[in-house]
Amino acid sequence: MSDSTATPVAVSATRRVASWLTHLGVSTHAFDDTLELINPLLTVHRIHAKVVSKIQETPSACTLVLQAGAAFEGLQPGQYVTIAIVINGVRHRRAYSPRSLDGAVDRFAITIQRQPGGKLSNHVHDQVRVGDVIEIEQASGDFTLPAKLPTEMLLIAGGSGITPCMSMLEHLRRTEATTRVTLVYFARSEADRIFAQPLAQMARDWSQFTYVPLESSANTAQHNADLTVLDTALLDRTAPHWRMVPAYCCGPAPLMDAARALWSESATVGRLKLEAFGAAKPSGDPNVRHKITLKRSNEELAFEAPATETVLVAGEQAGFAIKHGCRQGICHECTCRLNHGALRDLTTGEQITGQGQPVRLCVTAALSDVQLESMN
Amino acid sequence: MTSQKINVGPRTMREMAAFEQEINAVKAEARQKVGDKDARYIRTIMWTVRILEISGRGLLMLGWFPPTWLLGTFLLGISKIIDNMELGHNVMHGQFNFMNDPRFNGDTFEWDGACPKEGWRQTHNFVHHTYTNVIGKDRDFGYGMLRLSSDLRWRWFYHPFQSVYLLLMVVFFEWFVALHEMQTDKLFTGRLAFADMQTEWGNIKRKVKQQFFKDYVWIPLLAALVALPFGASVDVALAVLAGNFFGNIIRNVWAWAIIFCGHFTDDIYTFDRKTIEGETQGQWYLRQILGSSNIKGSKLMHIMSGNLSHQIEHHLFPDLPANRYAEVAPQIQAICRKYNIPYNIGYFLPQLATVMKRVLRYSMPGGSQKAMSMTMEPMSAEKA
Repeated sequence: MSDSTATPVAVSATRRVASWLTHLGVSTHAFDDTLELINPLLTVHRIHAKVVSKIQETPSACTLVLQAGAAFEGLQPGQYVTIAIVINGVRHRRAYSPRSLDGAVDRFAITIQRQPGGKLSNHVHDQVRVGDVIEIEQASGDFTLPAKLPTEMLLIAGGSGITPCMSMLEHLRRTEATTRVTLVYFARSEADRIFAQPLAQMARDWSQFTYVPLESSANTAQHNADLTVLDTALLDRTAPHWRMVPAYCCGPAPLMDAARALWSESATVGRLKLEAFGAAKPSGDPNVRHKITLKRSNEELAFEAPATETVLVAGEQAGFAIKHGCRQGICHECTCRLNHGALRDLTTGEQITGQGQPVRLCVTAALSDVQLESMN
Repeated sequence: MTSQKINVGPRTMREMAAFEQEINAVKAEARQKVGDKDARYIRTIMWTVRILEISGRGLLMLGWFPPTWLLGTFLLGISKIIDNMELGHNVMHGQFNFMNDPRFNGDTFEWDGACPKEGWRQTHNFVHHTYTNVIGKDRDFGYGMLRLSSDLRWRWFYHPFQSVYLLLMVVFFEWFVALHEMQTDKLFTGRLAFADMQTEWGNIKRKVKQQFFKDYVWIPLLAALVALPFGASVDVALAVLAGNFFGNIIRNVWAWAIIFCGHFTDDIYTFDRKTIEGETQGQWYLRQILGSSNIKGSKLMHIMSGNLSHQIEHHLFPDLPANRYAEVAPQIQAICRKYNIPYNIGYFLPQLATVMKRVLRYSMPGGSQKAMSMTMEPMSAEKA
């Protein structure tokens, strides 16, 4: 069922040569950089991809079609790929949900929603051109279809959370699976609805597919009582078997919270899988500030974090360069060990306490004064 | 011996606070500008190292032919110098962590030298940069081998011959730096047991083995293989081996000279342990300035010395990208003039001569007024 394959022989042979060369003092970075001079798609440790085309989906969302280098191992529908782009000397990494194109292993599309003030999304919209080469990482994530496909399933998407769902839908369609799928898709407005046309088309042509487009900002940041929200009534109406079937939800935090609450309150047999995306933003009291100390070998960074910022953002605002990656809780580059104090994990809403617990700085907010120690 | 009071710099705590603020303002301004220019700079340095190394090693594979052998050895030495100093030392301080690029990450960068990166981050980044020139705390002052001020008691059976050990140290500097992590001086005097140093010893063994095999086994073997069709395997392998050996020595001598010019020139100050009790950031800045000396020179000199020619600026702002030091130096110099702080700067050879003078002088007993051990207490007394 997967679109991924084993590593090609040429790539594993090149990796072998690279590992011999390390004995001669040639680092894997130097090896890759040299290959990059010849063709960026040849690198075997840091992978690159070429932008083949760029499509404007909505006024605020664009799709990049990427041709990945030979070392890219392909992806399963629903997984994410981290891309890295250097902006003003700083390498920024973000995770996006790719859709494999016609089942190709090395060609996929990512759709990027322009975020207000977002560094990478705005850069991609304004600067990235067809023919540019960007750095990518291997696909990962477990927001994927089960190995044995169910007879029926439910997808709930909000905003650009549609991207992994679209990847799954296209995969099911392409492989002529027998699964019946219902998609409940919230968007702020018709103009903001990514893939509006392909989805409408799919709904007309594909009898197994039930498409429920909903207009709502209720599950996003601005609450509005008149609009549809994710609740039992809505699910009973649109997907009567929702308690029994596997469900997937990807969207902004309020939508995910609503889904999590529904599934934990109702007696469900079906399993709910959640996928967060976008930078976490805690909703705390702006007047509360906690002292954070972060130890890295023998250096100690000390700063104050307001309850409205993640620890990573607070540290950066205090002027420190803190090691990090995706800023979405995915890559664990910023993970620190907790020595003292309590934080809230914004992806699960759970509290983290207890010495030795791993803390991802980019998706946690302090609940008390906190002492952390860098793991690397 | 009793400590003399320091008689330069801010006179009152109020002045000290103003001095601290001025230095902080310089730092904040420089940090603001860090971005693409610095990233491009360090990438250029990285490529320079790679191209020099490839050319050097390539030329050495042509065998003993003097013009190519000499040039190859020289280029290899230069590449090792830039790798260790402008690239490695600065990257390992975390100066380029802001790039978020694994090639320039201070925690993972590995340099072409015998000293393991883990030990270096401990003894250099932390111990040396925190306790700069504090006698008994800064293990880099004299490297636990040399008597460089009268703070250390003169011993007839050891110190008269320190120029001889120094010569050994100069030639094999990288191995001394690697062993320095072991706190050998404390091991000899029994203040530390070998068992306490197992982690360090493991790291050193691993790195030393790696370096030794690279320069003296694998690369000569590769050269022998390349020369096989020409029937000159043995000759070429030996030429490469010798080239690698002398390339390392070129790097060792130069690195030693630059490093010793940074803290052991004539006019630097040393401090006693009391100095650092309750030290303010301003006092820390002052100690860094008084304990370091700069080298006057061209841009080439700055690059070849890894910008340790701006030792004072480096000690004030160890994690500011080194290519910014030249920019902040005039501001620091102006602040020093304002607060009557000596800003120690001189050309390379005269500075090196004062280092040698110091080594020779203190191989004899006693010590002149130059050996200054001072306390900054009069300044904290103003608090009362």
